[in-house]
Amino acid sequence: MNAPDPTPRPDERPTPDELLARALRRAEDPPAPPDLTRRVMDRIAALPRPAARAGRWRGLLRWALAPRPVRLAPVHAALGLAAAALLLAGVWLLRPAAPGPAPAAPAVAARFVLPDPAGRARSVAVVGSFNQWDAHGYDMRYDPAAKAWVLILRLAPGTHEYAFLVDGERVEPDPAARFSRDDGFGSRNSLLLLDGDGDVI
Amino acid sequence: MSSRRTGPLLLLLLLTLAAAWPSAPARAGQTADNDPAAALAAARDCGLPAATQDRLLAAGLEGRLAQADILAVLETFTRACGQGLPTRPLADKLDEGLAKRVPGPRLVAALAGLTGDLAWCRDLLVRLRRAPDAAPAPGDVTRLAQSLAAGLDRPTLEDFLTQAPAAPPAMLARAGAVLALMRQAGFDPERCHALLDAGLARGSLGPGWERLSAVALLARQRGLADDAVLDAARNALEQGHTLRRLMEDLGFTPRDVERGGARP
Repeated sequence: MNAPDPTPRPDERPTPDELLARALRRAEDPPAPPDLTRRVMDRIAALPRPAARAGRWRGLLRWALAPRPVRLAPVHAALGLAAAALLLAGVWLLRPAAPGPAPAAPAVAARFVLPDPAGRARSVAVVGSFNQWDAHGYDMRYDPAAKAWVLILRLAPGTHEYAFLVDGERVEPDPAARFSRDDGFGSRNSLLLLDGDGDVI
Repeated sequence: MSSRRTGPLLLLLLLTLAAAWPSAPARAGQTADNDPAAALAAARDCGLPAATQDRLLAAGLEGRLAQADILAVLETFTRACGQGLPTRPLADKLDEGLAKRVPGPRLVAALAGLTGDLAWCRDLLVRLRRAPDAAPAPGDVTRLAQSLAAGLDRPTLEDFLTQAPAAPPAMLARAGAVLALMRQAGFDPERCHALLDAGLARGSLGPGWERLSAVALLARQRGLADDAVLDAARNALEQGHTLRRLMEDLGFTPRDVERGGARP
């Protein structure tokens, strides 16, 4: 709807609203007093200061209790849940252990190596006194760069007997072992000597 | 193999053995020692681990071990137990033999041989003890038997320990183990006897000295003369020092010495 034409028609007298509107349009904006800003700030400073601490905490409480909508992408929610689960798992794993017998000497890392330049073996495992001669879980990995089967184990200090189980059926001693023992079956077991102080020796 | 899976297998084996057993008149001359169930129970009472029993029975079910071999194995185990010998090394050797799929007769022979070594070593340590109540621990007997497996023969070991200064059974067993590996590495036997005697007399041949052979071998590889190494070891033992101190005296750090065939 168009605004009324302010130009009066010859046969009409302007209404009071129309007269007011014309006057307001013709009127100039009066300048603000030079001390307006100072007077406003003085009035503000003169106002009684509210109880800040109570107000702040009350404000925080109001903020905390006020329901507000949250928008979250499903992938972000999943990542958050996974992070929380990892945190809980870490706290559980790192919890103080129940008191028990005195801890044994720290385990020592030992690297088992069986050279196989031609890559003839299909599988190699380490069997010995430290795993009741059970190869399950002690499979070696073939390192193409070294052309050898390799496995690193953490073992208790002491003297261990061991051998390599090749292709699940052939038992061979370690060709690089310096010490060995008669196994009583017509072959020899290699010996591994680990320092009792937990250091490499 | 879990116990839940081997329970039915054990029952099946026992039933199979019972079904194959001769009739009553033929059994008249047999003793209770031939009862498989009784043999198993006796072995378990002597400490045969359940896992080892399972592997033994599994070998029987797979046809790798004959009934007679299983009974012979169990009888050997139980007899050793009755003689007061440590049974842990026998169980370990049984595990080893089963894992290596050793034929039954060879397995039985190996266990019998180990039992003989354990008995001989136990008797030797008992004869050498300083006090009647200084009974050798099972670990001491086992360690001494391992020195025989490492290449020492019985006369050499007996001569060495009989002439050595009196010492606790654990230290005597350790001396035998060290001597076996030093001789295996080719060090002069007489000089080895002398340094070990020094350690026994001083009481300084502690557990840390069990790796003396590895340290001495590395020293040789680095160009040190055997005499110098053995003299340094003897001096260290006479002074009551540790093997680590000997390594420092020889100019080594702990990371210098490789452990047998496994490397860091």
